[in-house]
Amino acid sequence: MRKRWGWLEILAVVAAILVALNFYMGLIYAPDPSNLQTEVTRKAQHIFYYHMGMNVMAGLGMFTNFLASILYLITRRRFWDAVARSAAEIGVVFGIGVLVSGSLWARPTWNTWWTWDPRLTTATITVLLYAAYLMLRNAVEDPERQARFAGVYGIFAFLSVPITFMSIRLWRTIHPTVFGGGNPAAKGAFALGPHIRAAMQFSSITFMIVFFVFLALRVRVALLEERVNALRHHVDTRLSQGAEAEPIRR
Amino acid sequence: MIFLTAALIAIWLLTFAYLLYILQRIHSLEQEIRSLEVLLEETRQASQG
Repeated sequence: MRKRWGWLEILAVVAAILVALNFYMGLIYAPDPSNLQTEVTRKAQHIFYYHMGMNVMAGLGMFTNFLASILYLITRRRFWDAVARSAAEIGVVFGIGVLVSGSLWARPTWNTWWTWDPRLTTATITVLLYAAYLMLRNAVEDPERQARFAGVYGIFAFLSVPITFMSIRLWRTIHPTVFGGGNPAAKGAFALGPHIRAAMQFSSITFMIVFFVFLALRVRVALLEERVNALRHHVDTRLSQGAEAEPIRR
Repeated sequence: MIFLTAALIAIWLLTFAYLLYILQRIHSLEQEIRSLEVLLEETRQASQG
């Protein structure tokens, strides 16, 4: 029998179409910013549409982790812990994407791969905090304690996200401020013309939908892992107690 | 242009590698569940027979 298409399959197809269109929007539709001095910096500026997309995904991952951590601590439902764990992993993977794509933009624009600018430093700390979240979870064996500990950690780790967002507004930095006012010290800043703005909005929506596809898939992995653990436990119990264990709950 | 190309390759390599990892993990976990269910059924039948 043919498998029916669910909402996830439909969302995945929509995401794939938007990703393809996003190439056109970011590379052809969006013009080279006229204020940038050299050809190489004008071309490198197009990285911004994907750098910001990665940022949307990482930020949504961390925000979802924050919300799911609160929901887990209130309800103690394992589902929210699975969501929190999945979202944190997505946050780390695409947080690394943000740092890598930013570094590739910085080389032609700032003439360096990396500098300890406030934005870059806070962004790196944020990614490391969530990487530590994933590693520290494994240090606690009891699943309930692990989820409780992770829930509290997730709430505090999220503090680094608004600090990273505000870092270019609070401290002296060379990172461009795209939203909410200019930064006179910024190097590589560009004006948001109508085409650049449209491409940026399109990119944000595309990566938002890609995020939800990834989150749904990753939560599925987390729930399947829990099912495997439960089945293993039942098999072990049956084998060790002479097949007297209670029937498995689905 | 070289930096733009490098960034696009890095971003989409990361994205697709992560997607493939998740899909592969779903596939292997589903297989493991099927095997464990068969094993559980066999132990149940063995205890009855």
